[in-house]
Amino acid sequence: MSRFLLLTFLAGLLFLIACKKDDSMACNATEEGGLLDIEYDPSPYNLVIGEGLPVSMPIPTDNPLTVEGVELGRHLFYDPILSVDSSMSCATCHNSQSSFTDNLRFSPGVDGIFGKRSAMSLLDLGFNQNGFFWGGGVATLEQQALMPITDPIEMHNTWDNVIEKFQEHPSYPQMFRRAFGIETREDITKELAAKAIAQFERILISSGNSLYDRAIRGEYFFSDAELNGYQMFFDIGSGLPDAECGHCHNIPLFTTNEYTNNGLQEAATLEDFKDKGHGLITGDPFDNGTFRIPTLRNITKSAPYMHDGSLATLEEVIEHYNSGGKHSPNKDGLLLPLGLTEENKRDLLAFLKMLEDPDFNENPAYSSPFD
Amino acid sequence: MFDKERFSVKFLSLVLSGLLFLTLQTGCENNPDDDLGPIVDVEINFKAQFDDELLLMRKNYQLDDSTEIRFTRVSFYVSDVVLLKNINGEEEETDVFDLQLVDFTDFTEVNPGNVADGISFVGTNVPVDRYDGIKMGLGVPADLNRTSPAKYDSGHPLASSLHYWQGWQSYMFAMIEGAIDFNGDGNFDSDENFLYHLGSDDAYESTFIYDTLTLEEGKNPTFEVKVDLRRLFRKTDGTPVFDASDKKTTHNPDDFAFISQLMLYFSQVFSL
Repeated sequence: MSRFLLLTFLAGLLFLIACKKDDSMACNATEEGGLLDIEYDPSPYNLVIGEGLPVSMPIPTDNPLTVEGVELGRHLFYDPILSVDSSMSCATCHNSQSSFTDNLRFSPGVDGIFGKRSAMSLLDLGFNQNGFFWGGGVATLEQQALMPITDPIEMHNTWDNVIEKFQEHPSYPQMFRRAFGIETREDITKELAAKAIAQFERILISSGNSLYDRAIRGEYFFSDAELNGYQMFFDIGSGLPDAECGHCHNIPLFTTNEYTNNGLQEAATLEDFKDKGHGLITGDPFDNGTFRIPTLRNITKSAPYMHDGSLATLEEVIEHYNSGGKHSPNKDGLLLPLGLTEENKRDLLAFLKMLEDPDFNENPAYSSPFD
Repeated sequence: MFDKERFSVKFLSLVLSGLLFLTLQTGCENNPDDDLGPIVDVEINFKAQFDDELLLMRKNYQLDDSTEIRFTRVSFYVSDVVLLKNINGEEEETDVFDLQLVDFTDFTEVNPGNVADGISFVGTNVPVDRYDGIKMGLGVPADLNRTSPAKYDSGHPLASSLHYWQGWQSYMFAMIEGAIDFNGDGNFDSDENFLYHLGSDDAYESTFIYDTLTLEEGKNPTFEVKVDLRRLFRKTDGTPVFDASDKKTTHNPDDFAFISQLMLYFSQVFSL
C-alpha cells in the first residue's frame, strides 16, 4: 500500500513539474480547455482579381489562402511585437496609405540605422514569380517574410523571441490554431508566421479600377494628354516619341518583374557599382547594378522612386529616362536619350497618374486590424 | 399462358440493347484514336548554338575575324509543330504540340545550368511511322495573338508579359538582344547594342526542316533542333545576312518590312 502511495505521489509530482515548466504551453492546451477545443476548419479565401489583371495568382500548394490565414497574417503584419523593442511592424515601412511603402528614401530600423534601399511597394507581389526584394534575394513570399524580423537594420529581433511572444499572446495561439491547425502553443513556428504574412501579402492586389483600367474597358475616356502619354508609354504608332516605358512596365501588372540596369549608377566597369543589386545574388557580374523592375500601378502613392529612392517625384523619373541614364557597361539597351519635349513629359505624367488606384488605397481589408 | 406484359418488357429490353450495341459500334468506328495504331511520345529538343558551339548568353563569340558579338536574350514562340509525311506528292501533317516558349536567356556563362540539355517539349500520342521532316510555326498564331497575358494562368507560355507588346496588340514572336562590336575596338559600347523584338500577325513564319524521322513502337524519340544564331547574322560564306550596324533596333510595327524580313531570316537558323 505504501509503495502504491509513493508511486502515486511521484507520478503526481512528475505531472506538476512537467506542467510547471511553462504553464503557457503544451499542458494548458488541455487544462484551459485549450487549443484542441477550437475547431480547425479553415475557409478558402475568395481572392477576387479585378478585370485586366492576371486571370489567376500562383498560390503554393502548401500555403493555400484561407480566411483564417489571411486574418492572422494581417494581424502579424501590423503588430509591432515582431520587432525587438515592439516599436515597428511590417506596416511601418509598408504603409497601406502609401501603396505599402513609407515614402522615405531609406527606412530607419529599430536602432535608427537606415537601410541602403528604399522600401518597395507590396502591391501585386503575389503575381510575381521572379524573386523578391530589389535584388531578388529570395524566391517566395514565405521566405521574404522571414527576413526583416532578424535583419539588424530592420526589426533586429530573433525568431525565438518572436515565437515566445506569440505563444504568450492572448489570442495568437488560437488564431494559429484556426489558420494552421496547431495543437499546442509550441507548434507555433516562424514558418507558420511567415506563411500567414505571405497570405496577407497575396491579397494586396490592384482593384482593376484605376482610370487606366476603366479607360481600357471603355468606362472612361482618355483626355488628350492622357492618350498622348499612353501612346508614348507603349509606343503606339502615333507620330509621338517612343518613351520606351512599356518594355519593362508592361501590362497587366506594369512590370515584367525582370532585373535591369536602368542607368541610375555610373560605372566604368561591371565591378564599379556602388550597389551590385541582383549581381550579389547571382554572382554574375552582368547582373551587377541590376534591380527588379517595380510595378507602376498606384505609382503616384509610392514616392520616392527607384531602388535607392533617389528620384523624389515622377517628373524627376521622366527626366531621368529622357536623359538616357548614366553610363555603365550593362545599362539596358533601351535606355537612350528620348528627346521628349516639355509637352511630351507632361502628357506622360498625365498617363502615369491614371495608374493611381483609389479602390486599392481605401480597401478596408488591407488596413490595420488594431485601428 | 402468354404473359403479354412480360413479353413487352423483354422485347423492349432486346430493342434497347440492340440500339445500344449499334450506337457503341458506330461511335467506335468514328473514333479516330482507334485508327492511330501504335503511338509514342516525341520530344523536340532545342539547342542554342553559335556555329558548332553551344551558345551561352553574355559570352563573346567571334562573328568574323574582326567582329565580336554577344547575346543577352534569345527567346521565341514555336507553334503548331507537326511532323511531315510526303504521300503521293502531298504533305500530310501530324500534330506534335501546339505552342511553347523557347527561352535561352538564363543560360549564361556564370550559370550555364543545363545548357547542354537544351530546352525540350514533348508531344504525346504521335503515331508510329516514318516521317519526312518537321514544320514549326515561329510566333503566335493569329487567333491566340488576339489574346493577352492577363488571360492566362501563370506558367502558360502566353502569360509572359515580357513577350507581349501592348503597342502592337501582339506577342513578341521572337526577342533577340545583345551587342556587336561594330567598330572593332574590343568593347561593346552603348551604341553597339542590338535589340530585335519581332511580332504582329503578318510576321508569323514557318520553318520546314526535312530529314527522315522514324518513330518506332515502344521507343520515345528525341529530335534535336539546332538554333544557330550565327546564321541570323552571317551566311555560310561569312557575308552578312543584313546590315546590323544600320539597323540595330526594331520593336515597332511601323517597321514591318524589316520585322518581316528578320523573321524570315530567323526561320532559316533551324536545323536538325
